[in-house]
Amino acid sequence: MGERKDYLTKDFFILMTPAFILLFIFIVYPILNTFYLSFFKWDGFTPPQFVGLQNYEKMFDYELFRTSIKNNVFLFVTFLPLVTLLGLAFSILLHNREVVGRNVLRGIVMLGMVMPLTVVGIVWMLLLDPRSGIINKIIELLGGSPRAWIQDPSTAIYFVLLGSLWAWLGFSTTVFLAGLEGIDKEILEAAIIDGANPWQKFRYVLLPLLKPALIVVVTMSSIYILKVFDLIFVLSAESPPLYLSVLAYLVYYEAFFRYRWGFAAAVATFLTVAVFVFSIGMLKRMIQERRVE
Amino acid sequence: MVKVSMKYKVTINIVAWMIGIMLLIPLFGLIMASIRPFSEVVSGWWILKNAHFTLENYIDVLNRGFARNILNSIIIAGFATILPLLVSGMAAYGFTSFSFPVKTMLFLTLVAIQVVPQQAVIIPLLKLFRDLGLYNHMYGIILVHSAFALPWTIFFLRNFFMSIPKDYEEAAKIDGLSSVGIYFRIILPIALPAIISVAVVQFIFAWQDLFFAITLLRPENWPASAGITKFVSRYNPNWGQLTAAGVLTILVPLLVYITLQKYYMKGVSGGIKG
Repeated sequence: MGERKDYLTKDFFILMTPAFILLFIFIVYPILNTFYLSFFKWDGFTPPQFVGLQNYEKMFDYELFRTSIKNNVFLFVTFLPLVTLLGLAFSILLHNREVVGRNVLRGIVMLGMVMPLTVVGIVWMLLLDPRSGIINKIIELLGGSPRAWIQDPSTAIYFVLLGSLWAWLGFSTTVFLAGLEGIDKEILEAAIIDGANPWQKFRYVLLPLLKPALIVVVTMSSIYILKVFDLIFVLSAESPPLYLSVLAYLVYYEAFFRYRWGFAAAVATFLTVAVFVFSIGMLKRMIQERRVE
Repeated sequence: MVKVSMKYKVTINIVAWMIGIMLLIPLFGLIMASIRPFSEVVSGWWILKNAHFTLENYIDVLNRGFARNILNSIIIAGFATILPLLVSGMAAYGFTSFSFPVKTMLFLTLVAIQVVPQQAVIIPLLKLFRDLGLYNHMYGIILVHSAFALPWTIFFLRNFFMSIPKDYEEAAKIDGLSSVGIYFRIILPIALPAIISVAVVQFIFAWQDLFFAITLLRPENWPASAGITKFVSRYNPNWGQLTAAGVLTILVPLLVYITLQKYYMKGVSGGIKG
């Protein structure tokens, strides 16, 4: 499309203003304000009191913050490789023309993604239940001993991992599938004619061509798991499950249970920075793609 | 063409379908537990011998006011789809058809804020909601959802608009249409498939939200995704009610997904939306 230069017209402002008002009031201003408030001691009601970097200093000494970081890191290093590799493997399988009912299978993989994570949590509570859970029954059949996976603080994190995986596998699979569909079949056939074995075909032909999809999957999955919240909240009926706390949950807990809004703002700022750090690669790429156009 | 042996074909189908079934088991469990009495769920919902089926759990859940939560979800997710689409479509067209100073910077900001976590805005939003009287009002949360939908929907729609041939616009300009007119009369109809993709993804996404719901609304106004947590117990769950509420919560997004699957897939892989 052609680009008009007469932007100082009524038309231009009619088109652009509503979006930017919404963005400014509900996202841009609040982000900046969160950063600003992170330097204050504030309970949300009495006037805020400037404390400099105190909130940040307190944060790193805070037991619950360390627990949160530990949980975030554990989830990150387990979830990211699993969701990427499983998604890649499943997309290659579903891309194979010999598989009957591929569209149905594609639909099935996405089911977890369509559901609210609170329901995903309930589903996995049912599967992991000490008495009625199918997973314990399978473990018993295999000769192992059943466990109270979710009620035991030392294993509850696997509940979060499994729920996140089941919910997000559809995303990685779909993005890889879209990537595979974009690859010219002749390139792959040429590789086979040139005598490439399946591993070589994958490593030297398929993988480089899938790099854009890989970047999207790795980045989006990183962000997804860094932001994890719902699967922890769903366990909070009796009491806040603090042993499962993650950064996003800590913000909620500090703001709503302890009314330390300034401190919560500092944790939120930390989380936001972490998310941006992991998005840089993809954001850069999106910008480059735009420049090419 | 590469020849495929029968054995390979059978193996690959078995593997693919075994994974498919494994991915379905959780959902199957949810449904089974919701239509069977508690005693049968505890001894194993997968045991089909002497199975009894009942709708009692659904009746109990609805009697406990869950219908209201579903209605809240429909209202919130519905408006949180229509409003941002209206707004972002126009802005996306503005980005496509005009060149203006700070355009690149504005666009970069837009791209960057699509990854912002909800927690990054919640404290100032709470204060804002209190000051403006938006707290516990559905239109308040609808506005927040709409704002959060804008970055990715503008990006998605702009990419689509760029692929529309220039000729359409030129013809419309000769006919004397303004930019706003061109957008609503020419571009929007052509872009309908892209609009539907965005709408489906955004509707399902808004339906899933928990964090804004529990922080910006009181429990009586919670959507189903949040309201369902009142049935949860870590130590002593009432499986029947819990899973019946679960099934009711996923019914609408599941129907939307099944009928518009093609559009949903495009929306997910085309935009970069979780």
